[in-house]
Amino acid sequence: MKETIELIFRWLKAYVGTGWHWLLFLAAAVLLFFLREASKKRQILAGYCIGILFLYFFPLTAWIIMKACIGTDTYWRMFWLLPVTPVIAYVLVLAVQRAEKRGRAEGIAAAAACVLLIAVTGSCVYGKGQFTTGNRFKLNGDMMAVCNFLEDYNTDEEIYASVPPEFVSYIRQYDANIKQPYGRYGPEDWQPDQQKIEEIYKENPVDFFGLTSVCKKLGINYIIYPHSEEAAAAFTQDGYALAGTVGKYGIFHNPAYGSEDDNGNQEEV
Amino acid sequence: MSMIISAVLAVIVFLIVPALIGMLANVFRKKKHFSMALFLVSGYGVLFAFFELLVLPFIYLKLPFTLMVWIYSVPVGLLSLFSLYLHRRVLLEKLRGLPAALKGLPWCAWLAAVLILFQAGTAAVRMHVDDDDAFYVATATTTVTTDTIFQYDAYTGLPYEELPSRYVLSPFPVWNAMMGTLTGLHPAIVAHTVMPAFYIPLSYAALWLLASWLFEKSKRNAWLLLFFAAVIQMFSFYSIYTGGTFLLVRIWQGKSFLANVLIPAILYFCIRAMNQRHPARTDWLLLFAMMAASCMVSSMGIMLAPVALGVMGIVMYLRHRKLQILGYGAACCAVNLVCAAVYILIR
Repeated sequence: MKETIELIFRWLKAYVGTGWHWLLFLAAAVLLFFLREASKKRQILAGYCIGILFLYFFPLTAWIIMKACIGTDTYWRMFWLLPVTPVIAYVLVLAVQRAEKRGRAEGIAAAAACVLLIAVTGSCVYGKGQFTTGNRFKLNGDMMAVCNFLEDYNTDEEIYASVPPEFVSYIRQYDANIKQPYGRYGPEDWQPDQQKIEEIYKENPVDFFGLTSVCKKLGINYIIYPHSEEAAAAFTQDGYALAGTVGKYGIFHNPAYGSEDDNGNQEEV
Repeated sequence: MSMIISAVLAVIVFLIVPALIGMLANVFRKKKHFSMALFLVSGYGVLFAFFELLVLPFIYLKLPFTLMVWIYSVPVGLLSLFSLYLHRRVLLEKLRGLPAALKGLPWCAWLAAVLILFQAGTAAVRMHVDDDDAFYVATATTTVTTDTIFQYDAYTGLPYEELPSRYVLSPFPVWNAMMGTLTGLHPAIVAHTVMPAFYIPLSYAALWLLASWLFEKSKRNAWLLLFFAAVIQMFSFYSIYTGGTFLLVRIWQGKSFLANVLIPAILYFCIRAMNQRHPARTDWLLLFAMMAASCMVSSMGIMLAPVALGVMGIVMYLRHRKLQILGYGAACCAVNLVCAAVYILIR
């Protein structure tokens, strides 16, 4: 139970982050009890918020939801059930409405003050490096160029490629014809060989021979690697000839691999 | 030229078809009320619920993706045409009255519209990289490329030895694949460019429903609420876990759709169905659709949506003391319960 309570507060802390919107929400939720306007609707909203907060904070229900429903790592998603945005916005509208009773200018000033309050207590999603310029696919242009090259260059082989870490999570979003030995979280039967490829890409200096030997073992017919004379010489010597370069990447091909048996398993020709 | 055709098709499948299906879903109401937000949100609920019920057998029977697209699209297309025929007069009338209606909007409505369009435009034009797409978008691309549903590992392209239990009951990436097929666009473009352009305004349509319930007698106040909501969402990046952050940076993922469209919609339809002396059957059916839709978009929805419905059901029961609320509410969770049972069996 101690662990559950710790998780409750850990996720609360993570969710509220560096902002103060939670305080605005709590203040708004409390105000729901005291405002005169639309009492029945306020009761429903307030009752619902109390119910969700009770489920979140009460250790027994929290434990059940964590263990049997959504998991401990994603328990913070319970906060998505709280109507934080509509409740804050509702109370702010009521505040503006009251100010407007004194005059139009007061109403506009109150609305501006509300916007300022939201801005000061929160953090804007724009201008924090969340967005960059991109193409229509919103994928790495170099990676797309490599995929296009592979599709043009390759004729009838299955493309089973070992790619740099910066491509691993994205290459199959663009081209699902390209198979790879491992992805962001996979495969399920994660083998030391796959892990070794990932480690070799991150090594400095790189064990080119180690990379080609694992690739051969797995039946990988293409290696994508940042192009250099050293890399080209090492890969060529080991059977992976330079098929071409795209941007800073070299594409190395070993035609001895890449055919498939009926079960989809790669095998050496 | 092909991009223009794709853009027109995107408007049809992302906006017009859901609105027409939503109009049809609300056709049996005794009290007719024209609300595009209601039609859009209920249209998506019905379309997603139908998709969930149709795709799951296709996954388990390993049937081709294109066959599923046909079996789904033909009846939906016919129903949309039927709805268009049925509502042609009212639609024409509303279109003719649109300039006057726009002229009558209060200042806060224009501010809200500008903010919402800015948010949708930014998400559609600018690029945000999210590693979760390694599964969601790659699954859509794999589905289109292999003409199969959940038979190949999205991460590697190798055949699945067993179905991914966490995702298989929530085939939102397959919806993305289908939208790609219907519009002729690559699933990555659909997810990263097209979906934000439509789904961010859709999330505000769901909030509009709550706003118009809270301010039944003042549309101006409902617009003001929407404006404040847009500002709050924009300033919700104080943590990466908030609904606002998910809305503005990765609305193409099912969990974000759940948090920002379906949860508010479920609350709204709970209120509609449970807070009336004689609730319309349509409201209960739409609540059922929303619950099934929540299963379709995310495995979280299978569990979280019944929690929301359950809490709202108890609140309403305490207000009205009618057991019917709890009974019908439980019935609305049928798809969630079946999915939860299947999940426990296959995990």
